[in-house]
Amino acid sequence: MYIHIPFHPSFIFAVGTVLVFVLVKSLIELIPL
Amino acid sequence: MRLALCLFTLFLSLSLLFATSFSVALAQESDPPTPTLGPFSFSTPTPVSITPGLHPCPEGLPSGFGSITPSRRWLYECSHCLLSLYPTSTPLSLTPRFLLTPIPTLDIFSTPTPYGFVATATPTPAPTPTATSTPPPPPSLSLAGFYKYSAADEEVYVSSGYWVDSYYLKVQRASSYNPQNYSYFVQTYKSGIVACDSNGNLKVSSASFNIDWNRIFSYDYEVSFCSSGRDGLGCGSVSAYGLKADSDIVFCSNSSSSKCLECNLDSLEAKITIHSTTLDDMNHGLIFTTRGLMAYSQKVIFNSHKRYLSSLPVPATPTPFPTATPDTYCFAVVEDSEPDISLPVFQIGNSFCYGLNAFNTTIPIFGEFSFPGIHVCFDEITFGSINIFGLQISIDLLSSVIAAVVTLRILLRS
Repeated sequence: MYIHIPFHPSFIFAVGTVLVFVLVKSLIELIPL
Repeated sequence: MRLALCLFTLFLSLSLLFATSFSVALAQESDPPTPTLGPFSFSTPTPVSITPGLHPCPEGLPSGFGSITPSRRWLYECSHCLLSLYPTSTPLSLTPRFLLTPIPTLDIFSTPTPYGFVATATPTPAPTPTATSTPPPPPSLSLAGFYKYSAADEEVYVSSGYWVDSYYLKVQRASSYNPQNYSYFVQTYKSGIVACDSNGNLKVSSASFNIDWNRIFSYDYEVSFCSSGRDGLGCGSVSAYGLKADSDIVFCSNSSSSKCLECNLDSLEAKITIHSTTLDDMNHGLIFTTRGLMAYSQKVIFNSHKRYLSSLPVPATPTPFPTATPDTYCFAVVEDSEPDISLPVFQIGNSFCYGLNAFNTTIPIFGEFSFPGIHVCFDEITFGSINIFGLQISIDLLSSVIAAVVTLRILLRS
């Protein structure tokens, strides 16, 4: 069974950017300065 | 601090985007090949240099002018050639209205005119347009030879003949020919065509007369079926002999007279057209007899008939339209292939599939378990571009800009 999910590169760009931002922000908050 | 974080995140995202594309491309090599429509790219069309008035002009109208709509580039570069032909016109008024050259088409289903074979060995002198002159006597032809004209491969020796008129040829037969049974016949053979009626008017044409063999020969019979014939209505199929016939050809399925009545063909009239590109295919033609129309040893009863024999030239293979080169650009009208408004074309590009293949396993309690396999495929899509009067708007580029703006706003808000 194949499940096809269409995506556009701009969507990947936007979602990836937000995810990386959240990830980096969480890492910064976890690290005690 | 927050702005620096945003810029750092953007840099990381862009790096991730390109790295993802590269890694996905590498992973794609191990995946089974999937149909692709080309790589995704935001390429802009290369501008074409257009120089008006530098191409040489043809003598007279360019080929195809008036029959097709010229492209804007052709009008821009070649309109000066038309101004020399039509000094009062302007380049903007070049509405195609000239040179409606009819394209010769082969219409083999139309009712042909009676056709007489032309014997090029002794050509008929051209008629002179004089009112008082009588037509010259037909030239005599040497027709000596055997000609087959019956279904039983009966041969008739023709001793001599002469043209009665432009359609018929009077022949002298020298065989024991029974006109009662074979008063009409049209038959073709590899050596030529023989056509005759009960009066002895025989149309003979053979290879020795230098026939234009590169023609389509047609027999048209207009017959009305089913009189009180003794032999009933015959059956047959012209396609079985490599011939082609019109769809309105009528053949019954049985040769008995009772079946003839069952077919209710008493008042039917049919036009039969048989045509072929080679004379060999017409080796099994139709034979008219006084009892009816004999087709391939089958007999069809008819009341009356009209017979036409015609030929048309075989259509030549159309030559491809020459591609316009810069030197001869104005010699042929380049058709306008770009519409004024075109909608974007949605396309599916590369597909990246991940998942588990199907397998079978045995679970101690539940027994044998079959896993069907699941694959998740990410299909890359492109939106294409929209064309509005020559203005190309890339929907992909537009969506990317919108995504960047939305992403930037999300990053700045958080």
